[in-house]
Amino acid sequence: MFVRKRSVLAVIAMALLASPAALARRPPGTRSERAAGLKTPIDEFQRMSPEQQQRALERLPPGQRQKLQERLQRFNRLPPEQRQTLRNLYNRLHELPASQQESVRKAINRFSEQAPERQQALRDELRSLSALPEQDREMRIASREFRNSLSRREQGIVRDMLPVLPSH
Amino acid sequence: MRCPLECDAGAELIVGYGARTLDPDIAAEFERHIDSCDACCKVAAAQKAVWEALDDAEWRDLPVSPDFDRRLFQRIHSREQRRWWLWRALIPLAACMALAAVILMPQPDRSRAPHAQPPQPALQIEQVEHALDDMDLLNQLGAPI
Repeated sequence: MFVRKRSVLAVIAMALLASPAALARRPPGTRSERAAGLKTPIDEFQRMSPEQQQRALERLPPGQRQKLQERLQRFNRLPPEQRQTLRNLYNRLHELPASQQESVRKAINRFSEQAPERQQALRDELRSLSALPEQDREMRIASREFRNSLSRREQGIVRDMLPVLPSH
Repeated sequence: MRCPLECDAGAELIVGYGARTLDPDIAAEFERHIDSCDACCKVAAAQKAVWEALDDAEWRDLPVSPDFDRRLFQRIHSREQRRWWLWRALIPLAACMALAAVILMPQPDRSRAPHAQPPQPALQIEQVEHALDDMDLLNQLGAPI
């Protein structure tokens, strides 16, 4: 008797929680968008209505506003796969503590200072590490092959980049 | 004797006198007191009237059903049960109504407020700029990692 009453109450409560008024107060489509990784501030901005975007942009001086709009257009012109890769990297970066985020940013700057062929060697190494399970990455970094193929500076770049590699 | 109406145990003594349960010496002493105390005399007379009414033969001759006690306790019990079921039904109903009121309560329409400010977007444009900075930086890696 009690169990049946509780079930009825639970159904009533769920029905009320799922009412249109209650649904209207939830942020729109967050679950599917999170699943697709569309949760960067850029995606949030692009989901805003034109009026809201305009209001947000009005807070910037005209020159800065123009520059931002150009950067957004440049980002949108990237191939969809590249945009998604960048989103994934961005999201992983922003899941890290602030100090670790800063280490990753500095490592990318050091990466950019390398000669093009060394940048390619680093990309190859990072791609190989991405494919490995996390426990094998440390073994790879400790391996003789790793130490022989990259300079100390390059090894440091790879180590600092590890936290943004995808986890398996 | 000190006037029983002036001390705490007085009521017990007067009721005992009316019920004829007092020690004979104390009862005699009280009778001597009421000869000289109007207040006690009136209270004792009232008590006596109550006891005489209770002693009346009419009370004793009233027929009493043999299962009077059982029926009395049954009625008391069923009334208590009814009250308990009423509460059991009312509490969940009240909880549901409160829940519904919270969920369905209309939100104040701020856009119609006389001095309403245009709603500020939750997203700050500076966040978009910082995100683009990070995207540019990450794009330097130039590889899907």
